[in-house]
Amino acid sequence: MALEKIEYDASHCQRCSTCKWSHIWEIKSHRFSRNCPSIWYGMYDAYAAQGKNDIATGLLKGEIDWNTSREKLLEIIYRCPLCAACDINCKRIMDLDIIGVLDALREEACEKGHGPLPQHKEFIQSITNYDNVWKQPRTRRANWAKKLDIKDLSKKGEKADVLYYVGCTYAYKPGMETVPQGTARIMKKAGVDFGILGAKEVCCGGIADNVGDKKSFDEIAEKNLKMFEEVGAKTIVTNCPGCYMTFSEKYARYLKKDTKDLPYVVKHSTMYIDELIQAGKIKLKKNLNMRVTYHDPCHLGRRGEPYKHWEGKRIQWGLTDPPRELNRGVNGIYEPPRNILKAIPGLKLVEMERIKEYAWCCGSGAGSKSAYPDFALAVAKERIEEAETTGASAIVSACPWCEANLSDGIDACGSKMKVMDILDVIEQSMEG
Amino acid sequence: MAFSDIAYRALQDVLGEENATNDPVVCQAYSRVQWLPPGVLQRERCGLDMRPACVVMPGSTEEVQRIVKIANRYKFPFIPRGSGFTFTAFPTMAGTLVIDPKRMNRIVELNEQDMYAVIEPYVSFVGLQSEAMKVGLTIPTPLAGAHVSCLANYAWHGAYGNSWLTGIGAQNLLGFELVLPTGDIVRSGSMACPEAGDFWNDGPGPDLRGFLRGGLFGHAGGMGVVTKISCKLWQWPGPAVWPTKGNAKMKTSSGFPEDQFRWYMIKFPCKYPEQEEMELKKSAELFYEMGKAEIAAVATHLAKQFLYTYSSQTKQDLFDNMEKDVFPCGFVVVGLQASTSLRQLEYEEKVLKEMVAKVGGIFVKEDEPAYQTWIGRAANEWLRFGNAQRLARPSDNFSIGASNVDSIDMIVYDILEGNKIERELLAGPKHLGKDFVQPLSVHGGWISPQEYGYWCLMTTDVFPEQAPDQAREAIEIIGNIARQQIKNKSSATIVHLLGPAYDTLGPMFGNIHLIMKKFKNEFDPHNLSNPGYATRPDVLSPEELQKMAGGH
Repeated sequence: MALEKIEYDASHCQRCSTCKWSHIWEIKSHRFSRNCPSIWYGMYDAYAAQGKNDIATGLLKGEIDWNTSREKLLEIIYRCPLCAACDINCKRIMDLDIIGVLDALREEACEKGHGPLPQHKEFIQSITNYDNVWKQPRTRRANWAKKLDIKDLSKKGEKADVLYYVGCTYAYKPGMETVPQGTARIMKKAGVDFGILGAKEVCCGGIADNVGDKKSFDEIAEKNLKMFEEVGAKTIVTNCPGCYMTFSEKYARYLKKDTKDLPYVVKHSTMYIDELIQAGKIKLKKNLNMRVTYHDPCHLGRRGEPYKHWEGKRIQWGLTDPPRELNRGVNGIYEPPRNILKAIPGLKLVEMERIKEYAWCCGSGAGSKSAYPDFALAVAKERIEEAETTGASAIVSACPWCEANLSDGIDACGSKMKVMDILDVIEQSMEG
Repeated sequence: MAFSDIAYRALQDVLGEENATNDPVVCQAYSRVQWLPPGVLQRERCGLDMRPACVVMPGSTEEVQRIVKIANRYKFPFIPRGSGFTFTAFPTMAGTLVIDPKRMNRIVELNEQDMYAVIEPYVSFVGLQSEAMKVGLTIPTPLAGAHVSCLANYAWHGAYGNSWLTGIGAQNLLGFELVLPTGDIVRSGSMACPEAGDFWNDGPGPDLRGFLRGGLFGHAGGMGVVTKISCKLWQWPGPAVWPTKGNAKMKTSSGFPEDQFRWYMIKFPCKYPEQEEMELKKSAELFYEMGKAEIAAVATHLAKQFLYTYSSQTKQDLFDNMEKDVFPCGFVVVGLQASTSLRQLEYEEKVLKEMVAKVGGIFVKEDEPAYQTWIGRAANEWLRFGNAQRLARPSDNFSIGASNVDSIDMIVYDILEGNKIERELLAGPKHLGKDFVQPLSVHGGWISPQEYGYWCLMTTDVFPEQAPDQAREAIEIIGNIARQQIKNKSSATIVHLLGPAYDTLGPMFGNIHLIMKKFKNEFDPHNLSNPGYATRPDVLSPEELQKMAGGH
């Protein structure tokens, strides 16, 4: 029973509503004071972490069951991008594992045979069949790398210092191939010894974990960990925050280790490129006269914090034995992308009201866009409206999922803003 | 009383299907309040009856009026709520309708010149403050947390971090619009006069604010639904937006310019708790002196329990700080703000220094752990919210042990009495409170002088776990303190018991409970408006009172 693990956390919510709003310090206006897309859209308390705590407790105590109102229950559980804004805000007040409750509800739904949703099953089935979420043949996975002369570490005898893991979306989504291509060119210019897994690259499996299908996730994690070991990966670089968080946090949780004790170090491309810039290995020379704002992807920001494994129990007064250090979102990857943007001549970075661990989610995470496209679009539009108040001409991000959803938001708003991947911005500044 | 399908359809007809739901899973999220002992016991007592039969989201006063009329037609109870922080916002009986105000979240007017705002029920304190700051104004800073409903908190008589300057909710409520339990609309203050502007709390006829607030501590939704209030705004010399840039790193406080705000911690060296009386009396002396000079925006005395909880970054951090004895005793905290000019701030600082010296106080130095922990982490927060949500941090639950409003001197007396009783009960044969977070639970005493010390508010808190047996223990402690307060002819107020409290304490206040019952009978003839917690329409016998108060 997944819910039993979080019984204490769910049942000790004090209903202060902190989960429904941005942190009190961070609020700059009434208009953009909300932080949870789920209740912002759904309105009823059931959609907030507070409501989900009550529902989890109700399930545990038998006050409701999975057949009480199954469709509504699944909607409440899954119409949420698991962005963890609720979790981070709650922890400024309490010490409850709120994201653990949201995860456990999904896991329990799967254990009981009610989850995941059909749209999520399609993703997982696709991973089973094709090793990617987009139902694309394995043979096309490395098409983006043609003519770039990149080492394929899955081939016998090939070795490199860095494994560049591309991820399903950058590898397959039409129009997004410029990002891995640009990343490869940047690393080459910097003299980095790197390679890819070519057609043998397998989806990270993050989506399976996010929707509660732990069995599928475990199988995928095992497969990838074995591959990493075989190719001797010590440093993994990826552009996708979902993959980054999966390798950094979810695989550590699967292995019951701290992130720092994993057999590899994983870096998001913005972290790695920021280091290359600091080391003087790449130069951003070209003037880009742009005013841009930066959107923090949740999986890179508040969910990108290193995992600290804990096994223990709650003791008197809710203290934990041994003491547990909870993720509070403060050690996410916030500065590297900003450092890069600030290093570009002529480019002016202007911040939105909700940033870093208090950033408004794009709305597409954890299967919410596939299952609830109207919800995801509304959340993206809200972010675009916020971005527009900065006067920026472009919203830059570092996540393929955010960029796709924000682009949809722009179309729906009729906004003139552009969505740009930070790698494309970097490449533009390196030209010439 | 019952909630029927016909009533449900009538509500959906008025509000639209999306704004009225009887889905049991959605309603489940409105069924559980677990903090404060009455909340814990309410859950034990009422069980699934706490799950509302229906939740509705009106979008306007007119829709609220129609909901209330439907309730009268079909005779089902209803509870208006704000953000739902406190236990009075939850059903105590089956078939209750909960009115969730999330769609009524407009700042209707923000009048810079006359310094007031008109707001709907789901405008939070922080939402209103962030808009007011843009025009150089601010609001009282709620202890309950700035996310709570500003309107509900004002109606409840909320206490504030800066109430040394602003007073409590009642002093800041300029007018309101109320849908009575019968469905009629009443407006108070100058809001009652069309086109007059909503700036003035007196209006034609009697001052209806007392009617709204009930006898003691808020009407708890027992007199209908407040749909709009006008509230007073205060000068804000600080930045137009809160000066934070994301990523708190858990170590830093939000920074304010030193030429606009300065914080001070003042101690009266003593052996604690043996010389607690001296420490509290000296603090009171300082408040009286400051009140005479009318200086400062924040002035309060925080006992150990508040200092540790409010400044805590994690539960473990709180217990570690207690282990290190970071706050060896209570402290006076003073905040000065340059409401008019830097010269004013410097003048006030000079006066404060003279007064502290006069009463034998010592300014805590910047390198002392107490200063670094309080000023470094929590002080500036008091300009936005009062940190009291963190009272739940020690045990994931808390209870007000004693609360009172009176003169500063009397408050000091009450704190001493309250702490003494709690310590005696802990040491006594039943060891009441032995499983609470100790010794934190017996180191109480928040002196919160209001309006330059014109009057004062206090609480002492205890930290039981969420278990029903500990809730009962907490209520037994509260009962002991309250009985002593009544014996001492202190103006004891017990927020925990509400309905019974009116009946118990009414005789001390000129039998105010009797007139409130008359109001209730007149304006809520079917007893539909939050019947579980508001003033009861009937007069209770001593035996019934005893039973309702859980034997205490």
